Amino acid sequence: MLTQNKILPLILCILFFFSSINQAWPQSVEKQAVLAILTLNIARFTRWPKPAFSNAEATINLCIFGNNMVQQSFESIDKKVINNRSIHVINLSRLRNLKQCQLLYLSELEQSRLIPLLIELKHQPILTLGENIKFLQAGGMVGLLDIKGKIKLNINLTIVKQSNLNISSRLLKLANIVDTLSQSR
Amino acid sequence: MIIKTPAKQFLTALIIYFSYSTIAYTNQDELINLSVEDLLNVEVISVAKKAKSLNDSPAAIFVITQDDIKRIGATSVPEALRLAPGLDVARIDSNKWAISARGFNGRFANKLLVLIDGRSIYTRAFAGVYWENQDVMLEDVERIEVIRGPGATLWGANAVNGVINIITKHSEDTQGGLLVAGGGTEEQGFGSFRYGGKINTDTTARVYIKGFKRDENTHELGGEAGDDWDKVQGGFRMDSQLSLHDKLTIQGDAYRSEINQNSKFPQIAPPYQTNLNESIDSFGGNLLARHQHTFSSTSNYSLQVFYDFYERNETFINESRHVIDIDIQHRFALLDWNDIVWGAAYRYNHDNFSNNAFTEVNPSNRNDQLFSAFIQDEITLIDDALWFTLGSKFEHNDYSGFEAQPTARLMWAPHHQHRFWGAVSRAVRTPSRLEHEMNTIQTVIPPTPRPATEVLLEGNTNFDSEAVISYEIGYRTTFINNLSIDFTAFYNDYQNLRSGEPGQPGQYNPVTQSIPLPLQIENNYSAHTYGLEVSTVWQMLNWWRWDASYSLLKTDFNKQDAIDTIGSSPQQHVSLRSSISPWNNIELDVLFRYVDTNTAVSSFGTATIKDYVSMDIRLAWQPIANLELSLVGQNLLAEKHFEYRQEFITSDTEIDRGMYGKLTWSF
Repeated sequence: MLTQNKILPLILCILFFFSSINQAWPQSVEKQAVLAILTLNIARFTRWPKPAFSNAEATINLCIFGNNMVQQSFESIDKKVINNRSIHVINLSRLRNLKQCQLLYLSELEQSRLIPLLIELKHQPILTLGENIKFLQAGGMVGLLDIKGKIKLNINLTIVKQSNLNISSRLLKLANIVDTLSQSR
Repeated sequence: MIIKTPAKQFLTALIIYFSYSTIAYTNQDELINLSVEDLLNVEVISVAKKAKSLNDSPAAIFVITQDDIKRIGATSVPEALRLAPGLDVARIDSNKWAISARGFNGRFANKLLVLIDGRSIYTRAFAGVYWENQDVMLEDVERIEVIRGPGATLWGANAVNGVINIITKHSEDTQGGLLVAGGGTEEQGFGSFRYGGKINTDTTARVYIKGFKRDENTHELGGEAGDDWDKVQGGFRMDSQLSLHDKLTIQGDAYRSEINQNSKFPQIAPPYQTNLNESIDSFGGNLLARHQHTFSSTSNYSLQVFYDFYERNETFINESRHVIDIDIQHRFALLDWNDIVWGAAYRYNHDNFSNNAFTEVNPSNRNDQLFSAFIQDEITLIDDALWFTLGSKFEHNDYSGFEAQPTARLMWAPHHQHRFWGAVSRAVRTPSRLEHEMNTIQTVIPPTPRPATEVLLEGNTNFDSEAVISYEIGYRTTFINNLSIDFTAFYNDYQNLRSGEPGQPGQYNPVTQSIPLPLQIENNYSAHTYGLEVSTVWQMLNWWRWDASYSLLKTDFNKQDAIDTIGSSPQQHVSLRSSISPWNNIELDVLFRYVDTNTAVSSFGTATIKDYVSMDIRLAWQPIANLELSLVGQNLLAEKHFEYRQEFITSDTEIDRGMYGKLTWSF
């Protein structure tokens, strides 16, 4: 029979044993948090044409279409200042009023809605970001793909240029340049 | 801190432990200082997804994922459904289940609508689901959505207490081969094979075949219950992107099974009941095509056509049924603040019953039609925060005529961590073919001093729809990191529930030495039910998740005798599940379930079924990337336990403890 004062150390021992299992998992970071900070950095390396902003003080509107987890992860970059403009995060629950956005982050949108949406946004100065290969195939600009636990940056450069957006070569060097327009159709 | 009891010691240990283990989560503020190069080199995980995402539907919805199905070791759809709160899943014997949401359970439960990839599997025969006829390749299921409460506006009649939506994966996501094989004590042997490929650049497809043999359980009098069965099923699915705007899906399945059962039939001569072991031949198939056209990102339409067929031959009833269904839906946005969905559907049923010594269905053939239309508008009251949904379904069927089923729903999202919703809806359960046109010998009451009484259940063509008005409120939150909680409370007011009214006893029959007593189906009961459902997911550590749910259901009838006709579902359900993956290639899952006492009604009398606790364990090991070996123990806490008594015929059966091993190889 265990006496009472032996129980606590025993439980702690068991739990700390489990903690050692925890160490067997690599020191990993929540994916959504990394995607949000990467989006901020991509915005930093992007130049919009002048008409994209109403005036010199206008915010960079980052529109988020995603569930509550995605929305939460972008909370930390709201009001951050980059290139003398501050980021304004707008959570969209419906795909409307998209012209107000300079960046549009689309998390998990079915292909049948994604394809017409990206066609409608063609030539608009809106940098579109998504999370999978289908997003790029549908004509999305920046794909943040999870390849075996690491984020790979993919950029559809032709489509970016069609929209008069300019992404810095410093960022392009780190990215995989894709051209899904000529590949798929 | 002064520690007195082991419970407090345990709590203290937990607190110390978690203050230690939270280090594992990296602060988002630290990330902001990293360069793009560094960010692209960080190891990312998304384990807490289930614990953190909140559903945006203004309804009590619970999603069972592919991972859940796999990790509890479910071998059938009903076993997977046991995870959902508010759902009562009871196994009658090896091949029969009683499944319902928010009460009114039974093998012939009639207030739940079930769809597989948009195909309704609800039969007009008894207004319910033959669960033993329904199967899918479980590995190819994407998710099962369980919606408690009326879903009639969008889904159609008979979604009185809930809708179950089984959704299989797109064929693009099931490319390559998959081989599953296993066997054990109750699951004596099972195997399935699927292969998916690309037909051309725009078309993917898969084919599958599966089969199983399940063992007998224990008969109420001891010994084998004679309820073993086997089944073979095959099918396919093809998805094609016809153009940028058009998608086409064609899919189909076919099955055949031999179902054994031990039945008790009434008879006029002593001992007034006879036992029979019989083998049922049951087969069927379906074919579905769906075309989806997208006009723009806010407007699309879909056209779906399906054909479904089944036949079963048993002593009590011989039935074949053919269903053709055409369904069209159109969704569009209007004036920036309306999302409108409307649709229309037509369903044609052709059935054929052959009469036997117990049952007579008159007329034995019938064709019937169902016309329906619906419209629903989701109105944005406050941008990205408050929505009001208003809609109604209208239908005309050949049994109860015109029906309207409106709903009003409100959804409020004040913050990304909180969702509130409320709804008021009306739904109807339309009459079944057998309620209208079947006559059967329900039971024979042995002679007392009076002669034997032959109770004859008589269908009634005036039997009308059962109706409910339902009030629901709900709240979902993830106010603590890695923890989500979903609360729902409901109050349902039912009218015109089915009752059995004894008529005038007939003349004494000197040949059979009995008196016939007709029992006519009427709409004389009403009831109200109320209750709550809570479900929670806690991602305690990267490698350890807890899922728990609790459901409470109270039922009050207008008449004392209603409980002896309708029965009463368990008041409380508890489910607790722990999912551990201490290493990448090991999974250990433990599922506990508590089911409260319930009252099942049958022609053998009312049975009070004792509450029970059951435990399932699954251990899986992935020695190499494409191979998984698993060992599953089901109903481990007792050698056998009783879950439900069928309304008539089937002998009471206790469900045995089972173990099986399984191999899954993908290539």
